[in-house]
Amino acid sequence: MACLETGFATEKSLAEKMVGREVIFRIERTRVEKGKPILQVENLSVLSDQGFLALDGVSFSIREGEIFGIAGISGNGQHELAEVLAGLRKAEGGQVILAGKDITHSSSLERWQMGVGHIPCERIEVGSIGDFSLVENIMMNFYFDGNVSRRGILDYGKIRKLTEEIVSEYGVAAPSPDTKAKNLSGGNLQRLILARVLSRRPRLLIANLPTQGLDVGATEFVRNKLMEAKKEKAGILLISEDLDEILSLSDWVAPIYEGEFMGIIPGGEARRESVGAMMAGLRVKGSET
Amino acid sequence: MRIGSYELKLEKRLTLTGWEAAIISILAIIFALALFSFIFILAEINPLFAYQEIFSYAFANPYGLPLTINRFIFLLLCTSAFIIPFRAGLWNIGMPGQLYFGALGAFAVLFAFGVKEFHTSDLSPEILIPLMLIAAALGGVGLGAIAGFLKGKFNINEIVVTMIINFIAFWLVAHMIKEGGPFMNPGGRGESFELPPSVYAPLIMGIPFTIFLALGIAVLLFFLFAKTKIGYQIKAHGHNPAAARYAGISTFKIPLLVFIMGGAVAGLAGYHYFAAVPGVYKISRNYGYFGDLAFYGIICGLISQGNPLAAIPVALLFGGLSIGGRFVQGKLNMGFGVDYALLGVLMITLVAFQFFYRYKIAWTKTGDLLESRRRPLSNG
Repeated sequence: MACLETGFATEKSLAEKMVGREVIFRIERTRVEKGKPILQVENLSVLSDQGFLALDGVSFSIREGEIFGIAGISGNGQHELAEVLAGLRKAEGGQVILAGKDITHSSSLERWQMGVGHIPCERIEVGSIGDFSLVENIMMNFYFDGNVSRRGILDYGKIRKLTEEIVSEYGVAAPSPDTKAKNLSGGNLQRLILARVLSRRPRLLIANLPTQGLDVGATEFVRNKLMEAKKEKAGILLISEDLDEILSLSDWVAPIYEGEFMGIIPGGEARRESVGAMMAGLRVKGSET
Repeated sequence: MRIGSYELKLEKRLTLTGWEAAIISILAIIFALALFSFIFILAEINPLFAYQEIFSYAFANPYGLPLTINRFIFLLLCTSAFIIPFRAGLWNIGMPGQLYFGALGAFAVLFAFGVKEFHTSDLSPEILIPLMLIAAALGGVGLGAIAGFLKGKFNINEIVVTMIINFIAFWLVAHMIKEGGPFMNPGGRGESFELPPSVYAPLIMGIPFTIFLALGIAVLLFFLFAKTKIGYQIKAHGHNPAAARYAGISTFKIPLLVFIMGGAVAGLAGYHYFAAVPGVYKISRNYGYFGDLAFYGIICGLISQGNPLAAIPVALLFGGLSIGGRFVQGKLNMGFGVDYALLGVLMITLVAFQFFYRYKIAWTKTGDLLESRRRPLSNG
């Protein structure tokens, strides 16, 4: 596309050449009027696959229109947290309350129906079905809806239409809605998953590593979509290893270390250095809110 | 491979239409028959003559055709019983056991009505035949559900479970019909009591009504997988169980459900062979032979790629060849096992030809040598 001299090339100018337009790295945290609490988590404990305590008595709450960012190095309990909130993992102790209703023991299907959206971190292994067409992949989050499945018969026409809208609106590069998901690139697949989950207009969105491994253009796109969802009053739990992402998007930052929050800091007050230190296990005094 | 200025190349297929798959299967069948001709040539028989005998007996002979059709019905039911769990990513190897239990269920209904003791012939078929069908399906369900439950609840391998249960079911049938068993034939011939003629399955032009059952189930399954919510959930579980779980599909209910459905269909296959095929009407001494035959449901299911409609012609071909093969073996004084050998060769060839589902041979003109060498460079 272009040749830039190393000395003159900046992150911004390189990204611009790669994507073909200007890329905004820092998305402004938009002020959204704080709504009612959508998610309340009380003293939640979860076991990992190996059977040890992955999450040890975590408490927090997320309001409508808020992004709650969890900063941490993978393996400190954040995936277990995402799974237990999505209903894919059993809680050992504690409570999960969605808009005033106890959902600690609800199945993942019930949670989808109650307005929980989940973007999993494994987009190929969990988030999509490679041998399914794009239409069938979109169907993953809609087959249980009353207006898609009538008397057990699925309305594929409706989902095909939705898929066509999604493909154009979210810029999924695919020849047709019948393309198999395994032929999509990582960025396109993530756009598809994001679109599928967001088009349900979730009240609570669990976004687990939503921009991991994406190119700059797709990363920017995903972040913008998260901000849009926030403006539409969704409460968002954002899990990321990218500290810049957490700091620039979150209203609250909770660094996680060995299954515990090292503090919950308002996004405006979170500094790179202190959050980084907390991710490494340093508990900062007086930061609890 | 290069021939003159043309080149033969293997190319990866990105898509495969139903028609392409069908053509590949037909080529495989032709290839298998050509391969099997060597057996006939070794026996100093003209293969063309042998094939003519096989096909004309199986598909155009007044004695052979009904046998073919009965076997086709049986195989199609077994294929459907395999396909349902297969689409959920699970392997039902338990059709033999499930069909034995289906047969036991059907005969248990007659036993309960006192057929064995009193030889009553005034039973009303309108009540008994539906009851026998339901009992046969339930017999298969009972057996299938064990594998489905263990898979869904404890993730125990369904192949091992169904396989083991086959042996239990086999010996349970032996216990029931042989010396001293409750279903024993009063004559003590090591087979079950016979159906009274009043509950023989209705025949339509000499063909048991179960043909509608088998075809109807195949069509219904096609519709189930193509259009319904439950079919979608089964397919999602089959392609990626982790993604299915993420989407809220129960990884307990789906294995249980598919094995219940598969078991029910296999149970009906048991009803068909032992209570609906003219001239049988009892659990015969060689019931194990039909258990072995049920395994061809796996082959038919794999060849038809889990498509219940594609299974119809495949099951018909396998049914016909097994009947025709057995016929020429006797007629041409050949050694034992021509039918099984023929089905075996066909099976291996069809599986080997699935290579062409993923690759195709492209026939391209290369032009001169230099240009084809230069081409890769111009990209960089």
